[in-house]
Amino acid sequence: MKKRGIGYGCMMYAIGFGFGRPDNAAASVEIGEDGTVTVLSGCADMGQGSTEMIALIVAEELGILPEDVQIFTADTATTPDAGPSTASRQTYVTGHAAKKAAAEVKESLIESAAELLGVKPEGITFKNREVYYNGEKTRLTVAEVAAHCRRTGRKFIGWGWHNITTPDVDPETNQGDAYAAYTFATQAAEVEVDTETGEVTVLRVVAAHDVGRAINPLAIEGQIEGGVAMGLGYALMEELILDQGRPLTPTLAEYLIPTAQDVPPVVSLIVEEEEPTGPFGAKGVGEPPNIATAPAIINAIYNAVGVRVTELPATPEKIRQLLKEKGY
Amino acid sequence: MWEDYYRPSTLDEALKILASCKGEARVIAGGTDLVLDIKKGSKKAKYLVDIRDIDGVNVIEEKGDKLYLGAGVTHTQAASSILIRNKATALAEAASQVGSVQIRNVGTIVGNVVNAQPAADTAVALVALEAEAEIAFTDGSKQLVKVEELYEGPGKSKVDSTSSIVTGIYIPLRERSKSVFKRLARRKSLALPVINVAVTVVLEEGHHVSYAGVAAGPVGPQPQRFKEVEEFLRGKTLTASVIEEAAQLAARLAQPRDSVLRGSKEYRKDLLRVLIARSLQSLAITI
Repeated sequence: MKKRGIGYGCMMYAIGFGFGRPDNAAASVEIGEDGTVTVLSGCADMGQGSTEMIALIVAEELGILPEDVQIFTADTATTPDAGPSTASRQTYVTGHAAKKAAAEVKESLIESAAELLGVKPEGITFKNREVYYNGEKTRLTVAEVAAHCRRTGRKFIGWGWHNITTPDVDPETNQGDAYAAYTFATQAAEVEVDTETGEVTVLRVVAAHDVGRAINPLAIEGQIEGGVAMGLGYALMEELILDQGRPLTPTLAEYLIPTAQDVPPVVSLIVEEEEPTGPFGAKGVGEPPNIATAPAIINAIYNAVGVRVTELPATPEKIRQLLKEKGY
Repeated sequence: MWEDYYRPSTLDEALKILASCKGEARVIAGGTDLVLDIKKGSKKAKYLVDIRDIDGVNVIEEKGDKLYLGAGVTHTQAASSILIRNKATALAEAASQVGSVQIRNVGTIVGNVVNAQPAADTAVALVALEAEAEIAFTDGSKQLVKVEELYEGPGKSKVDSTSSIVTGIYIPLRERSKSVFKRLARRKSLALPVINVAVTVVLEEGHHVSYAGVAAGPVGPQPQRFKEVEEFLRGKTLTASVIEEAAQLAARLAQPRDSVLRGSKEYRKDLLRVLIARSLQSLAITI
């Protein structure tokens, strides 16, 4: 018989290293006479989209377009240290350093624009490569302003360093605020359990993630879908099996991870609750999607057939054994 | 890894190359198993003789009261052949679940048999269907051998690929027969089966079984045929109690191994019972 159930998993996750461990990042932003910028950052993009995140933040800050930004990343010979791409921290820390670097350049661009327009700098803003004064579009472009900035000997490069190192917790009580920012998520999974074989099929997953401000919604969806797939593998199949210390699962032929046929449709819900300490209110989303999936699936199995799996992965054999004990 | 790679266009030519290489040449088709074995060093070949250019090697056709498929027929071809889907459904279903798309596109049914793994999906189906392999030898002789008799042990075939070539497979066609293949693995694709089963029955108009073929893997050193279960089913109508009794009989007879990776002996016996019962149920419904 096949029985269906729905389960939920909730999680909170801290961004960055926390507990007094040094956690900071640097970036530089230089604007050329044509209004395009060059960014240097040590941030390593492993496919998660951090390079594009930096481009989007710098472009937003300078009122130019993402395609105007050229980035050099993760070269220890030339790029400033941005720390590792771990702890779901790059948007929150390096994104902020890049924003600060761009803001430094913006300061001298505003000064240049004010001089060209013969107005006070306070009302100047930049958007879509155009210069605005008191909300009204002017005849100037950001490129013209950048050229003037450089011709008049003003500063055309900015340097950003952002530090989120927190104080450690109290060594006596272990109490304190260990991290700079926290992120939250709830996921729901629907499963179908074959009571005779113990096989579990995940039918769908809905994943709601608080990301602060979504810098790149499509990339966030990608992160959520990937995290859910990994969480499904953790819940149902991934297992390092050892025989007296020797791995019996040394390759992906034995250590099974989900295939496209195992991963169900994932509905990603991006919850935007701005984080005041993040760049444009952004936090991170790298690891969180992998956290709530296994609990949601295990709870869904319980909801379907009333057995509680307490040791992962929930293989068909394990579930069949638990069902047997329940008299199925 | 090898010195020369031959692509003969006739069977005679292929056999001549094997004969002249005196045991140092080996037959290759898809190579999805053989190339890995050569890399690992578990099989050696100074020369490889690729049989896929031989005329007619991809043929799937009815020959008299048998369905014939040539040695070059891939899993993808078998899975999508209307003839095989209609007349040897278990084989088509098994072929569609072997490995990945890439492996199915290249690997051949005959290769799956000659590689002699106890849980080879298509071999389990062929054993249930009582298929025969046609073997051609370097002296020009030919021989028909039942697929279930081609095994010497796990991973060891009686076919010597350095001096003979399996040219094709014959599956007997029986009036009013139906067949089905089922498997369970630890994920939905690209994983070795914990248990796979193939069942065929001929249902007479009075709904009783006049012929049955039942096979499964990996429950022994080779795809195992359950003749006692076939015997038990003969003459009976596929009622719920007959199906359950047949499935339990198979589970009692099976001797699967404990596998840390793929499941305990007990679970596999239990699963065998479930899959055989489900196979018979689906055949009982689709008369």
